Amino acid sequence: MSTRNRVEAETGLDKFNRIGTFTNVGFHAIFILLALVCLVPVLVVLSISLSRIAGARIAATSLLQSR
Amino acid sequence: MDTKSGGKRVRARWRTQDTELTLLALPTTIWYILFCFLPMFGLIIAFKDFKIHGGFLSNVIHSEWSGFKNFEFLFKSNDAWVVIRNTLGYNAIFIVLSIAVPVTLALMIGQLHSGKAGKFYQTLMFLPYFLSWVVVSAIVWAFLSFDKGIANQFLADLGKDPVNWYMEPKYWPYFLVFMNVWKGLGYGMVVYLATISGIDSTYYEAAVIDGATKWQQARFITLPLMKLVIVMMFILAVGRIFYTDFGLFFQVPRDSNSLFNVATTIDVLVYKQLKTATVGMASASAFVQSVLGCVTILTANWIVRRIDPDSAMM
Repeated sequence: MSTRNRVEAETGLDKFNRIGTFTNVGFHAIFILLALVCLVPVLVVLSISLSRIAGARIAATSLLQSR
Repeated sequence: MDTKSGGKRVRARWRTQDTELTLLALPTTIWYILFCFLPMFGLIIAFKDFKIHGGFLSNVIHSEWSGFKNFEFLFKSNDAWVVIRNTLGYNAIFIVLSIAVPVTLALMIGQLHSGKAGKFYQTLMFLPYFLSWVVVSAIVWAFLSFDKGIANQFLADLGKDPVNWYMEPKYWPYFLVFMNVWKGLGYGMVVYLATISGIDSTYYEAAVIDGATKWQQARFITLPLMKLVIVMMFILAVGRIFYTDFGLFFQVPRDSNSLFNVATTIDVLVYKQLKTATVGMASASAFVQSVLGCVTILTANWIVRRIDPDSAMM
């Protein structure tokens, strides 16, 4: 949304139709937690993919099944 | 093309728009004919003593009819009850959660003050959808491995005994449900967010003037307007209630024998039995799943039509 549109929106009814600041912070906290739960495993997989197999076996502990 | 005009049938003119629409539909139609309708011929394998040697068509034609013999293993197996219970039970939970959780989160994400943050969270939650179950299985193993897993290291830090997670069936229904929700969350949210963004903002403006709270707006405006999509997703999910995600139930529990009672579904059983069974048995299983899926989808649609005719699909 451009600055002009945002100003227009906030001067309209949208200004009165928003969740409270405390609720907004709570929602952000929930979504940050969920985003981390989704992001961290993907980053781990990515880092393992870019690692040397010998190093990955040691550093990534059991992510790769030891033989 | 015939249309009725004043009680008389008149032939409507074929317009340019009709040609465009036909051309648009043609690739999908061809795809369906080639990959959905033609392979149905193979269903007769379920009723034949089919053996793989030589040409496929020649084998199908010349192999002997076996009646319902291929279906017997599905119902006479000692594990039939466990497998059907798991398949239906897990799918029932998945259907409820795959609607409730994304709808709730879509409602919440639409309320955030910052639209950019909402889109950012949505993108991140979509990521697990792109991971294969084999990779997810490795991640779960990293957490739950007995000797090197993060979970047992955490328990050791707390001074507790390690748990052999892959030998303890009582935890796995929760793990499997969590993994399914985790992987499908972002994908499910997209559908519901698209529906929410399509709702006319004047409804909310009128509600604000009438003094409606956010909860009342969600309950009396957003959810009723999402009902059609929710019901459609429900009916489509019910149609696949006899199918399960093979990767989730086979890869993630790592084929542990201790988890047989909680992690074996029809698809996994068929795969395991295929090691010793025949192609005919696998076809029979797929045939049963398709027929029962068709029956459940029609039943669900019939129930929906009885409750709310506008929400029914057919």
